[in-house]
Amino acid sequence: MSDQFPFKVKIANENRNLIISIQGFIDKNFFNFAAELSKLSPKFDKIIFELAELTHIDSSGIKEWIRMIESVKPTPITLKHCPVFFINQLNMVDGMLTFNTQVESCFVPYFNEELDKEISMLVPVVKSDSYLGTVQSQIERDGVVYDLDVVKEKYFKFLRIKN
Amino acid sequence: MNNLQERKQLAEKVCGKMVFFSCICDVRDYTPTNTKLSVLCISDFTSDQIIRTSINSKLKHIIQDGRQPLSEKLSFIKRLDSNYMDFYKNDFKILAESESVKEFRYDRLYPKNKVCEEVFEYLGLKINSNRAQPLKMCIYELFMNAQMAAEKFKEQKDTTIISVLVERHGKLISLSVHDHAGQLPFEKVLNKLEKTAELGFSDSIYMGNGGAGIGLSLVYNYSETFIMASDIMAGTKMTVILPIDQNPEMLISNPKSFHIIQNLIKFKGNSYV
Repeated sequence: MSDQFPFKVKIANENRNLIISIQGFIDKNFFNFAAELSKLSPKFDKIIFELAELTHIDSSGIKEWIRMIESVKPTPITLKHCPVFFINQLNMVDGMLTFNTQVESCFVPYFNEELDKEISMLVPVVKSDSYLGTVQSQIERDGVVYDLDVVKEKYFKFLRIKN
Repeated sequence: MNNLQERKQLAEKVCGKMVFFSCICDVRDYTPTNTKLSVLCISDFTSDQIIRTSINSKLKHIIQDGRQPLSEKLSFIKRLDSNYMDFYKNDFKILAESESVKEFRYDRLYPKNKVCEEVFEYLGLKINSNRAQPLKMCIYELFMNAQMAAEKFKEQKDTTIISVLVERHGKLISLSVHDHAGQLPFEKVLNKLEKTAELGFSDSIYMGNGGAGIGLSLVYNYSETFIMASDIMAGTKMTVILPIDQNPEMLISNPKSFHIIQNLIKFKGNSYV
């Protein structure tokens, strides 16, 4: 990707899985990458997006993301290390998640009101009826107790999305 | 404050004999066909209901109680009454008791991620803070819209400067982006907001030309107050007021207020025309 783009993409091929790491923020320029990806996708069994270093996705980027998801169907897509803002957008913007897309892991926000401090914890995501019960309501880090800063049912709404 | 009588009294106290007294009404009193109402003071309206009400009844100001007190919201409308063009002035304060106000001026080609970083630094916020993500989204979207307007009108206007005004009162932030150039087709924007709410974001992408309304819909959903102002001479100024101490889920469900400020709104005696 050229330096003029606000995001960088690293691509790796592992056992017929295409692994794509995105760093930076996704905007309308994602169009070019998405067009290339749609040509590549039939050659792979699965596309894995690694999103830990994704910093933002604006509305023009959301549009291109949805188009990209549509264009690689039916190749399965796995989303790993989804940041909190990305999960919020998955929940709010329908079409960002389709039947062939699955969230494998995501960050969950925790907050300590007294200290005005927040942290995020990476959790594996499993589609099961008992999953929400496994998400901790409180965690402790360095002697500080943090409360879950989301409503579980709302934050993990994406598990119920069927497109 | 849910009591109708209380709100009427407050409106009378703040706005005196202005039109607002007769326009304050409860949802129960509200008739969509009554186009004489210009200000609607309500409670428990969802964000979709507000947009629909504004479209159907041509209402320009719909206010609900929230983190910013109702009295302050009424005062805001009262200040517009003296001269709505004041809204475009850089010293027009949106939050009555701002502790800090700053204007940033940018060229239309300035990168939006830099704008965001500078505003966050001024506010002392961490750029990746979860609770500040809605503010980040608002900066990106409003600045991007202003950039597009400045680009479109660059031949007709002698300035392509974009002003970003930030006010802070405790955990409440007001963010305004003023392009000094563009003209906003209010009806089109309202219709897009309504369609996006009705069809969902993915279907609205394929709707007509221009922006799909996703950006403004996200901004509107995250805001406590959403203000759209546009004037042929002054350009377009979009303002959002939102708290930075709530998670995005809570922000979406907060009661919203909504204002349209355009040069067609004029006062005659005690009433809007």
